[in-house]
Amino acid sequence: MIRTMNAQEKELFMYVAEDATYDTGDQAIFKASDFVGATCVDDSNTIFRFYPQDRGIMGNIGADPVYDTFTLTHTTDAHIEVMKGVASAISNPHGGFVVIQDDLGTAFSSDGSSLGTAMTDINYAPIASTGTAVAVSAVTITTVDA
Amino acid sequence: MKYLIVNDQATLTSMGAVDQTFMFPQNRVLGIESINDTTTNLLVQGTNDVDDEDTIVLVHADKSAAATHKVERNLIDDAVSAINSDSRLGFTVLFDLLNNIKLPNQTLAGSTYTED
Repeated sequence: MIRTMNAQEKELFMYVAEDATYDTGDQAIFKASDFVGATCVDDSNTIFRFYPQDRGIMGNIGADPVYDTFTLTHTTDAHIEVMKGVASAISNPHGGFVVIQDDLGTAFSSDGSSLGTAMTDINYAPIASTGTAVAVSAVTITTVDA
Repeated sequence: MKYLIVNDQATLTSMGAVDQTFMFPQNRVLGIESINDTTTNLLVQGTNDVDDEDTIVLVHADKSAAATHKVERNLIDDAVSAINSDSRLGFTVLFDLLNNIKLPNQTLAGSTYTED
């Protein structure tokens, strides 16, 4: 298996939380060095795949691997802007801790009583071709060990 | 680590299916392969299957024609430069049909991304 840790960079950790209750399995931290790629799921979801925490999964001879993933639910057709936003957030060579999506924040602001707008933890650029504002409304975590 | 993005959809409302839009780390690039006179493939470690590869097709002018004989060689230089780019933004868009972004020696029409 190819290991991808770049010794010249410090590790960057990506935090996501599915909901405001923080139940077991609803939060996860992914290492940026484990990131494999991100692709579309449908018109409002983008999946981010990572080498799994359970390294044994990657050693299954003759079987396809099972990745750890999180999926961001976002403004329709905003896949490129979401990818750009996340890429910018996780590219710091000095490492660190980045909140990709914390749905405690989303739940807090969705009632409109405080910020009056949907809250997104990364500031995404609007869709380039239309100017439509981009927000992420939810995250779904799938991990091998979950 | 910096990241690379490709998008082969030219229509906003067509976004959202597999084999369309892809973001990947610079270090997932496996190689660049000449396919024919007008096509060069950029191979990336599979995002959905680690022991296979994803294929990014970069279309270019006909390298068998005298006027564009070096176009593929120049396109490979473009691609390597983009892959190695230390972008302040954290990402580099190799090509994006929706927003008309491409490598200097690339032809956007026909350029595609396909998962393994």
